[in-house]
Amino acid sequence: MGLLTYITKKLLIGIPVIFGVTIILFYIMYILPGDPIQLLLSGERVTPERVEELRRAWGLDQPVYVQYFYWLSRIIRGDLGISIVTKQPVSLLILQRLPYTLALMLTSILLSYVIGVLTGIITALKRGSLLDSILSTSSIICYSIPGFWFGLILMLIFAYYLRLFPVSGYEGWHSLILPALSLALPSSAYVMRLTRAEMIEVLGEDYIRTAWAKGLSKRRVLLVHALRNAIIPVVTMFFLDLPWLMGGAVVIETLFALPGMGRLLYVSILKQDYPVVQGIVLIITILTVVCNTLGDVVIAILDPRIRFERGRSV
Amino acid sequence: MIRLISERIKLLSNNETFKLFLTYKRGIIGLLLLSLMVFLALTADFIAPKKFDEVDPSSRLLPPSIKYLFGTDHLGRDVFSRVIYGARIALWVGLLVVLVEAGIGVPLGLLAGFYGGRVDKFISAITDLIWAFPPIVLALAIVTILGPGLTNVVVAVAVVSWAPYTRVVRAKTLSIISREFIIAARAIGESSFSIMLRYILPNTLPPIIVLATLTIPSAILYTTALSFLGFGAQPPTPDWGLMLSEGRDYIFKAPWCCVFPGLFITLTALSFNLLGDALREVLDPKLRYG
Repeated sequence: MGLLTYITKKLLIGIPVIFGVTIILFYIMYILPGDPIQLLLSGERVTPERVEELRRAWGLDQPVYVQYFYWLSRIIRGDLGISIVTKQPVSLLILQRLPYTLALMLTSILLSYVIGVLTGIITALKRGSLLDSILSTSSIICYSIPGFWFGLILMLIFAYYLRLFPVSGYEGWHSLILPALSLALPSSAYVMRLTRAEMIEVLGEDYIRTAWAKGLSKRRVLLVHALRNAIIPVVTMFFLDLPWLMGGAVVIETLFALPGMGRLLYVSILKQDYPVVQGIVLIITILTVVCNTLGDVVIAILDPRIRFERGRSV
Repeated sequence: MIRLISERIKLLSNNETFKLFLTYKRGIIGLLLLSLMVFLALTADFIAPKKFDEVDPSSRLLPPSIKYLFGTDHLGRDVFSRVIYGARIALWVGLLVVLVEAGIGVPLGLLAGFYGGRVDKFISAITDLIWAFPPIVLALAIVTILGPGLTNVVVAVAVVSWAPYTRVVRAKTLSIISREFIIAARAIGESSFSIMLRYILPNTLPPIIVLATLTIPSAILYTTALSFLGFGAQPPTPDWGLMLSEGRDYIFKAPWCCVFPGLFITLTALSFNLLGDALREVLDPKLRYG
């Protein structure tokens, strides 16, 4: 199978998944308690005729599947509906918050990959040493720590006692450091374990022995021959990691009162602002599908063997 | 009784798998840590100095002391007692989530692997679809429908995270479906149901056990995170996540309200992770998860 065919196939698989996601999300909102028209009017008193008129105008008198297609066609045009609370378009609300969330996620990904890949390489090279067992054990501890608790502790020590960072809210890039650290902690531990396992596996391969035998420098063997192959699964994890970070961002943004999309989701759930909840969940889920597909594509480009693999492994 | 137990232990120590397990120091530490949590959960009524909801307005936000080992919270409740009672909830929730996950995931995996073809395609499509949702976000959406509460959170977390069970069981089923003993069972006229239940299911148990040990900690982390946001356990439940959520308002005045519940979440998750790592090495070296 050629690379292009493979990529096209993967992209095509993504489409029914996104379709399925929209059906589930539409259905979730459909069975939610509360009449959408009443929510729209938010307590405003109008005649029953006016309610009927609105119902027809919004297509709510149609069968469910017709309503779904109305909804879908609006979404495709970028119309995610109107917030019940602020009466602003949901897409506008999301766009306002998105940069903060992206900045937070990028910072935390950067942190977790720098820490994770470095410690992963070190522990793989010093396998069995005291340093290895200390770092390996701490990695298990790291992903057992709830991020929001770690965040609270960081807040207590660095923001309150040492006064190095703002306690909460957004006052510039340094407001992102503590939240990013809390988000990065578990994922850096995963990155480290994966890098370590892959490095150990690769270092045992024949071509590495050949490279040593050829008399190549240590740096060349390790960086060019070993790391290049060991890093492939780590790169894939980068894409699989994004949606998980998104989930973590909801909790961490709420904790640090960052004005991102995660906090908007939290506040909207509390205020029962369903259109906003639906819009955010939709955006995040589509991002997840796109990331998964990108992960598949990137790994196919980096590692030609994958393309010939049939069926799917666990 | 004691003789029976000592015989059991003798039997266990002759068991190869168990001997192998004993060589993993981390696994043993995990097991000991978990035993401690189970002990706390079972004996909470006897060892907790106070009831978990015993309010004492005259001793609010007191720092840790001999009388109050972990200090007191904003209502004057003993944090130590609440943390001990919390072990009950955390373990119970972890177990419940895993049971629901396995209850959904295992039968689907068996069906997909056993029948193959269209059944497999259909089940795999659903699995992929659920896998496409980021867990916390979908769980939040479900809690929005169901309303807040610990039971609803358990349902939400289980509904978003059963996919690994289906994948593991499906893969294992596929790997043994063409082995002689299955063909023999078919030949003597065993029904499909009985083959799945009596021949395939027992073989999928080791990876299921490993997976369960490794999903309990994430189940505990998710449910406490949702409780922390206020969508899970409601007051005065001594849920560790809820305690953190309540203590958060007093974090600078009384950090102990937050430090200890979080520490116990970490220790519980850690115990399962250590145990699961060792079990994976012993039971199923090929299984990779997460």
